[in-house]
Amino acid sequence: MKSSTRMIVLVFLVALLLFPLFMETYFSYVLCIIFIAVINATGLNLVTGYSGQTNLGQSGFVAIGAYATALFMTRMGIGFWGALPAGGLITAFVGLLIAIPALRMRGLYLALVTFGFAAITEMILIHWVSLTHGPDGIRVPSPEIGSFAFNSDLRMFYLIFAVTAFMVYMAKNIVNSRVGRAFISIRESEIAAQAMGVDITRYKIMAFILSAFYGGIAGGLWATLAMFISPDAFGVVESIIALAMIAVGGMGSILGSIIGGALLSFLPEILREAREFQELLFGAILVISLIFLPNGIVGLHDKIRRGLAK
Amino acid sequence: MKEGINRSGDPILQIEDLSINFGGVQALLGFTTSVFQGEIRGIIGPNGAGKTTFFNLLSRFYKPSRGKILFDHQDVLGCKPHQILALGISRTFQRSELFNSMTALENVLMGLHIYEKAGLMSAAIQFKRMKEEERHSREKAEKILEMLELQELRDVLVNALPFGQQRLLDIGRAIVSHPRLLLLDEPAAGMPYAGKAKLAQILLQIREQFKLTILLVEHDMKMVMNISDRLTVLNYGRIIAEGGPAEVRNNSAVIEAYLGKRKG
Repeated sequence: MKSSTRMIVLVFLVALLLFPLFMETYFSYVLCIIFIAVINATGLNLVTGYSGQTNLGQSGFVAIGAYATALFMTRMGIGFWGALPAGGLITAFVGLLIAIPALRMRGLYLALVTFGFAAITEMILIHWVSLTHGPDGIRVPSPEIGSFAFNSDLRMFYLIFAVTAFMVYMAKNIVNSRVGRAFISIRESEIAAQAMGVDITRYKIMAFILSAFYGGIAGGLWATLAMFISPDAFGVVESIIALAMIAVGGMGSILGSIIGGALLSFLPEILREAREFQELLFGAILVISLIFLPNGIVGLHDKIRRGLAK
Repeated sequence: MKEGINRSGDPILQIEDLSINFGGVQALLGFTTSVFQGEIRGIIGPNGAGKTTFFNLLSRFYKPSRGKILFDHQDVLGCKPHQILALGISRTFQRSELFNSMTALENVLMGLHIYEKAGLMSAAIQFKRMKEEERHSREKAEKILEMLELQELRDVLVNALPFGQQRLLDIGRAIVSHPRLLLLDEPAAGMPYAGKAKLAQILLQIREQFKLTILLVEHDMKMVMNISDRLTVLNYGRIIAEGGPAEVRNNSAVIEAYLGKRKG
């Protein structure tokens, strides 16, 4: 990162940290929702944007992370700080199981398999009542450190901010490393990737595991923020929305995941009063961005630069 | 042409009876040859003769119906495609298979993938060892770009590179790992005359510098005749001639394959 870029990021982060102190508590909640969406979109971008493997099952990963974290906390009495990473790891393991059939498929077939996984996950949440309480859902306690409870939206804001910053930092490092280059190489040319010695099976699995882990952490955070989870929050449409986030923000870009995640999770909040409007606008944004910004909002930067150079 | 390739020892590449057919089309039949260390072996023949098929067999993208490939006494056919580079066999592609959305430098870095060790965790947390490794790789890649006079284009995305430079970059990506055998699939295709001359010079230079053995599939006869030590001529999947450039040029089977049978 250039030092000027680093400075901008730093100023932005500090402003973001101070912002909720001067605003209504509702803003903290909205920002938390945005952060969680950013984590999820970042994870999805690793497998779909960077590695080129279609994943329409991200909502399934989020659901498993949310329920695993909630169940660890309520059934096994594990504290949040153990339950969240454990939930993430269990989701990562599910990601591994999904990756195995996924390796034999691509494109539309892969989309269908992952979509099926998300649909099945939702069904299991509804019907495995003894574990999940079915549609009645589960109440989730707040995270605690000693006697300090993260029981307000403002407190949750700082917790989720920290986790998000860490998750995005790791993703940024991964994509700029040998591992990230291997992901991209698979997307660009599987045969050239193999000729370069990239074990494409291994890296595809790795990408799915990462995507699942990020989804799982997003789910775990969501469960403790909402303090209540039920299956209807994890419908397959959430998978489509996650995909829309990275398409609008920018495939194969961490910044794109942030912008897309923020934009598409913020919109529903400002359109809360007009639900039918919300879906209309959602669809319109997706269509418009796919037509005019095939590389997402981050692609705009290059477009403008090239336009100026003409 | 290079004198003094030692043909008395063991060949570095031994191919025996290599055959493959695609749904009844015999793409390669009974391909048998030996290539020695330091040799530039031209592989020529009309379109569809089986040249690229041969490369794809060596890269393990195809599975032969029978035959043996030994590289430095190691069984190539026992390897998976991603293990070939580790044996010391590297290649370029006829149609560009560069990683388009990466910069020139990043493409060359891909050539070092197998020599880097960073896993998911050390990449995510940026362990010091990993940073050191990354820096080291970048230095190596920069050197290759300099050698190919591509250093100015280091940070340019591949799809913005002129065609000729893409071809050079493909070679850079293939040799940065210091392979022992380099497979070049029509490196001069579509290049202007001056580009071809420069390319020939680069190939001779990297052979010396990297102690390379090169298999060269090329349609540009002038170039392939000029720099090859020996040529293998294929037609309809069979070897119809093998020998030095002069020998092959006057071979009647070769002339016939290229120009058709003389009437009368």
